[in-house]
Amino acid sequence: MDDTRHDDETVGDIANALLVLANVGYGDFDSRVNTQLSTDTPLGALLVGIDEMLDALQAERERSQKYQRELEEKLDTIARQREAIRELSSPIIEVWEGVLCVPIVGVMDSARSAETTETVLRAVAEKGSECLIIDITGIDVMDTRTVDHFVKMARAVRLLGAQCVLTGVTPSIADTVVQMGLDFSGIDTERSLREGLKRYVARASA
Amino acid sequence: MSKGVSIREKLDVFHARQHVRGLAGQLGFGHIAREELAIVASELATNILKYAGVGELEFRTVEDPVRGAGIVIEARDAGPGIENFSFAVRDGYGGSGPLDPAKLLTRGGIGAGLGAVVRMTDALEYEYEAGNKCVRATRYVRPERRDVT
Ligand SMILES: Nc1ncnc2c1ncn2[C@@H]1O[C@H](COP(=O)(O)OP(=O)(O)OP(=O)(O)O)[C@@H](O)[C@H]1O
Ligand SMILES: [Mg+2]
Repeated sequence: MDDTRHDDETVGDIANALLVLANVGYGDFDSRVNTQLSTDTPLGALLVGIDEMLDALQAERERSQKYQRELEEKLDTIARQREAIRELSSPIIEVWEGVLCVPIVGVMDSARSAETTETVLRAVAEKGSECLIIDITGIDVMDTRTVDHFVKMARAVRLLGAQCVLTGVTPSIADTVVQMGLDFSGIDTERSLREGLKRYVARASA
Repeated sequence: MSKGVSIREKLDVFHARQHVRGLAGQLGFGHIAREELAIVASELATNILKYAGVGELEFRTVEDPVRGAGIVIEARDAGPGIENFSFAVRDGYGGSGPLDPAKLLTRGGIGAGLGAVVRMTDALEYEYEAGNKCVRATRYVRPERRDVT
């Protein structure tokens, strides 16, 4: 130890360093020891070393926080896009040989119903499917004209030799159908997609 | 309070829907009304893409002394415009007359978009000026009382 320095000065420096380290423990990487001691003395070298280590730690932490933020932003964007993709497309899934399923998410507007009709009729004709399940779980509102169009589409599907099943019809859509006096004959409805699958997959595999 | 959503591609139709759902929720519209407004926004935005290519949907809240709070959706574009609006709002009609029913299943539209907008809103207007065509749809939170004598 440097004997020209008073002991309490040394104690003060050490206390200061401990405080800075305690701050780091609480997540505050901003404070520094800022010692007056020269690095020629062992204590000075230690204290300056602590500050240098803190500089490096802080830089590293900022880098990782920035990375974390970017990662979260990207995940956010992906989640939003996934939702958009689900709403903007109506994929046709062949759940079983001869059984096609179209899950529709989001809204059923006129463009969507026209698109669905086109893809569905093409798929049924190409694959010669026996059954087409359209799942509208989560669609709570359809315009009367759209429902009417759905009925027409289902009839066209039947003309192609396949059975058309509508699953997930909510009470409010069922209301629309009743209020409109629409004719649902020729279209099977099932409460849920699960029910529909159970019935038609069993039939197709029998 | 008003906000514009520019309509350039299909994804923007989704944004317009999301926006009107949020706004309707804040104003106190119920779930069904909110989904109906989403369809309205969808139809207006899709028409912009289909017939004008680009345009904008603007969303505003209104406070009518009689009808109370509501949402105004203005769909603006600088496309060719709707030749005959009273034709266009009829189901199975295009802007210049009836559509060929034989082609309805596959023409990429069933000719009922604006019809749905009429059914799902309280007021619908069309403004036609050179360079600015605007379809304005209004829907109030409180349903219209039809039993007033
Ligand atoms: N922004 C617009 N610019 C020019 N013409 C339009 C515009 N919006 C609608 N129209 C015209 O009004 C007609 C009716 O529109 P509507 O949305 O009711 O039916 P659609 O777009 O033909 O079919 P759907 O909406 O059922 O897919 C359209 O056929 C088109 O001629
Ligand atoms: Mg349309």
